[in-house]
Amino acid sequence: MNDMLNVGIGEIAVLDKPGKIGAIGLGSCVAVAMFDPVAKVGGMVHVLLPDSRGQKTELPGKFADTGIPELLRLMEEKGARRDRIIVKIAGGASLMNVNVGNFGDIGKRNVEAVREQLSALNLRLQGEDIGGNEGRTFILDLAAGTFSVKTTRGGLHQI
Amino acid sequence: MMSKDDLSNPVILDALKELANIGTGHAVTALSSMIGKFVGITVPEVYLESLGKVATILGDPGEEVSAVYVGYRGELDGGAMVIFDSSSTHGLLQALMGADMDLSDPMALSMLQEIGNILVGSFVSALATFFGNTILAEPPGVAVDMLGAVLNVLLAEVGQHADYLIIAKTTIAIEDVNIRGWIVDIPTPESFKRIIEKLGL
Repeated sequence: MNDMLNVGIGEIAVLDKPGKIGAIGLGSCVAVAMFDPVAKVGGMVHVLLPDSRGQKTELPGKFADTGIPELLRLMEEKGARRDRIIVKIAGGASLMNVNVGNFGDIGKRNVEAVREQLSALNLRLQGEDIGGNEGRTFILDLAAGTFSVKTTRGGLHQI
Repeated sequence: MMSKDDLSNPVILDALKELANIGTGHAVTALSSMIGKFVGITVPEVYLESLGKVATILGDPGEEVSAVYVGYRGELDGGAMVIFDSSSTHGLLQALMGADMDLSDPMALSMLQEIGNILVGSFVSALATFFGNTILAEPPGVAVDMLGAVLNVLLAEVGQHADYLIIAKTTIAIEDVNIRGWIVDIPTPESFKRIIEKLGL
C-alpha cells in the first residue's frame, strides 16, 4: 500500500491518473469514493461526523454535508461528469457501544447523512459495505476501476 | 471552530503535559498493584495535530490493537484511551490469566476492558481530583480492531468543533514481559483553553 494516496480523517483526495486512493482504519467514519470510468477521475472523502451545523472548517471533508459537495466539485474540476460518476461507500461501524457526544450510534448517523447528501446531489449510490462492529480499510483502484474493503477478521472483498 | 493559531501556545501544551503526567502516574500505580510488576512510564509527549493525522502519531492506522476508551465531561470535556498493540495485548492477558487467549473470546475482551478501565479510569479520576471533582467519567468502551477505527470513537467526540487537536501521549511499559502501550488523552481544545484561562495561566 506504499503507492496509495492516503485519505486521513476530514481529508479529501482526487486523482486523475492511474493509482490508488484509500482510507485506512474506518470505524464510525464513512469514506465516500467516487469514480468516473470515462474521464478516469477518482476521489475519496473521509467523513467523521454527519453535520457541520454551519460551522466554518479548514477540513470540509470532516462533515458529510460539506465534504461530499466539495469532493464532487473537485471531481468535476478534474473533468468528471456527474451522470457518469459511480459512488460507493464503506464504514459507519459501531465499535465500542459508547454514546459519543450524545450522537447515539454515530456510525449509523454518518451513513444516513451521507445518503441524504448523495441523493440531494443526484448521485446514485452503487455499492456499500456499512454498519456492523468491525473496522474497515476502503481502497479505490483507478486503473482497475475497483472498490475494495478490507477488515481485520474478514479479509478482502470488492463492493 | 478552533484554529491552529488558537492552540499553538506553549502554555497550553505544557499544561496538558503536566496533566497527563499526573493522570498517568495514578494509572500505572493502579496497574502495577493489579499485576504485581513494575510498570515504567515515559514523560508525556504532546502534539498539536490536524484531525487527519492523529492516527499517525500512534502508528499504522491499519494495525490491529486493543483499546479501552473513557470519555469525560464537565469543566473539562474529552476522552482518554489506553491502546496496546497486538503482541502486548497477548502478553498482558498472559500476565494476568497465566495463559494466552484468543482475542475474539468474550472473556478476553472483558478482561481487557477491566484492565483498561482501571488504567484509564484512574487517569480520568486523577484529572477530576485535580479540577476539584468537576469532571465525570462515562462508562468505558472496549474493542480489538484497527488503530484508526478505535480512534474514531475518541476523535468523533473531540473533533466536533476543532480541526486541530492537542494530544498527550504517554508510553507505558512492563519491560520484563515486553508489554508496551500508550495512554492517549485528548481534551476538547475549546474546554481546555477555557480552563487554562480560568486558572490564569
